[in-house]
Amino acid sequence: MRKLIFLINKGFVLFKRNMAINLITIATIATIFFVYNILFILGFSSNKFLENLAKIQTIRAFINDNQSSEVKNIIKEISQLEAVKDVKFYSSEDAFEYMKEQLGNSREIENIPKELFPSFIEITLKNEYTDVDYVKEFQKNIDKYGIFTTTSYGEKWVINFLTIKFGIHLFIFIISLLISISVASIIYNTIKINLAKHKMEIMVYSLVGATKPFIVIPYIVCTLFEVFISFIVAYFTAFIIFYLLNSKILDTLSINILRFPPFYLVGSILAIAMFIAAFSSLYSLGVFLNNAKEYNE
Amino acid sequence: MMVKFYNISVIYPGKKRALDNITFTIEKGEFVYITGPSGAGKTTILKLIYSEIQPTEGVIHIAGKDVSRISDKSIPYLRRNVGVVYQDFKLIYDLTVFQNLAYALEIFYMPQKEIKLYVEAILKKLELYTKRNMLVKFLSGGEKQRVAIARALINNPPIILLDEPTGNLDEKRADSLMQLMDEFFQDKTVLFATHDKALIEKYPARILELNNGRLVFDSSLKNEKVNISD
Repeated sequence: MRKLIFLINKGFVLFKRNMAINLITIATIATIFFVYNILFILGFSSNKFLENLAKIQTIRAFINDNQSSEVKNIIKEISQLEAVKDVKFYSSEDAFEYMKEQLGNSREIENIPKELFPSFIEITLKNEYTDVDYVKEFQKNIDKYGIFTTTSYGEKWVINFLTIKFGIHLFIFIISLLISISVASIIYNTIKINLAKHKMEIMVYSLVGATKPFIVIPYIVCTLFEVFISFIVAYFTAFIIFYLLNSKILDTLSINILRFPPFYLVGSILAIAMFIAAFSSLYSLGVFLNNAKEYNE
Repeated sequence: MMVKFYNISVIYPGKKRALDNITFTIEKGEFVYITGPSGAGKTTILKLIYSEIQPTEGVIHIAGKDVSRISDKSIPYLRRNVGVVYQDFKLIYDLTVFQNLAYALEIFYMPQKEIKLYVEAILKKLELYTKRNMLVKFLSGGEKQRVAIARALINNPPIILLDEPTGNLDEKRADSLMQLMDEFFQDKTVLFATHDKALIEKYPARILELNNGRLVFDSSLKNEKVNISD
């Protein structure tokens, strides 16, 4: 532990000694992280928005007229299901009134005979059961009763929303991948420059008997510190911008679509970024030390 | 026995043999010159001792341990027992005298207070104390050499290697270096690579003479020089 603390301190000393290049690196990585955080927050908000849109609150099951006698019993059975919050029956007349209301009390609809409107039940689901996969399963069970001609929950829209949601996920994934590559290559090159600057020191350390961890760990600590600072600066800048946008503009327009990712998600992204940085700096150090060894020999 | 080379050969990739079947033993506390013309293999012997290279053939024992196939992980621990003074000093010119010496102690995870004590003590011994805060690049050649010697001595290693330390020095400075060594290397096993015959005559000690990678003379064996064409 004492050795680790010693090497961590050396990492901070190294950071101070290469302040100019480290600050440039921080500024570069922070800019990349800032753009990433902006896109991530927008992606996260859109994802949540679509998730809400894609939630299926109600299912309509249209009843085959010949079997309407069984409806009462089946409604009773369905209402007792765990996922169901409420079940309402709409007779042909109710369906007519419902449609009339939906169409703004249009007169044209009155020309259609009421009996042509199919009776149906509207099943309202509990919030925790509104996921599309569950609803599909639920629909299959409803169909088993055999008295319904069609069961509908707005599949077309849900599928559209889910496609957009998948598109956003893919976009965020590709952006994350590109950002990871950029950060890794910046770290790789920064370490390379730092190592070239300290080539003589590393050689001397090696000649007087420094172990590999003694040489490597301070550089990794320095890199992790850079990435940590960059990410925190970038995230909080993005957060403040969105917070002001939300509170000063969107809230006043009653547009409530911005959502900030939870802390664990931000922390996970930071952890992944630091892992990539550590890996990249280790790789850079490995390449440098191998080359130095070959050069010495 | 402190250093033992048994049938050592070194072949650099794509090059001729740098060392050819060398065998010798150096006892603890012995002072040995390794001499011979440029390219004879003097530096290669030193590099083998501090494991910068490994032999192509043969066995090397340092303080009783076989280091001929030493792992990368073990090399640092071997080097802590070997102080090296290079012809080009290998000092960090943009750091102060103090920092250059502190480097050699930091690897032991020593606290700064303790490092200060050790460094100041050796600087006083080598009359460099007043220069402790000076950047090495502003020191004279002789002062740089003393810093290099101080660094080699600072962790009290049992073996000291000197690679052409008088190569760039005039006679007066070479003499003062020899006096320093006499004073500070008393209990050390010293291998001194040089092609300065005048110096060897003036300060006699055991001689290992190399030519074209072969050991042609070992004064401890009182043998005649071997004709290298043999």
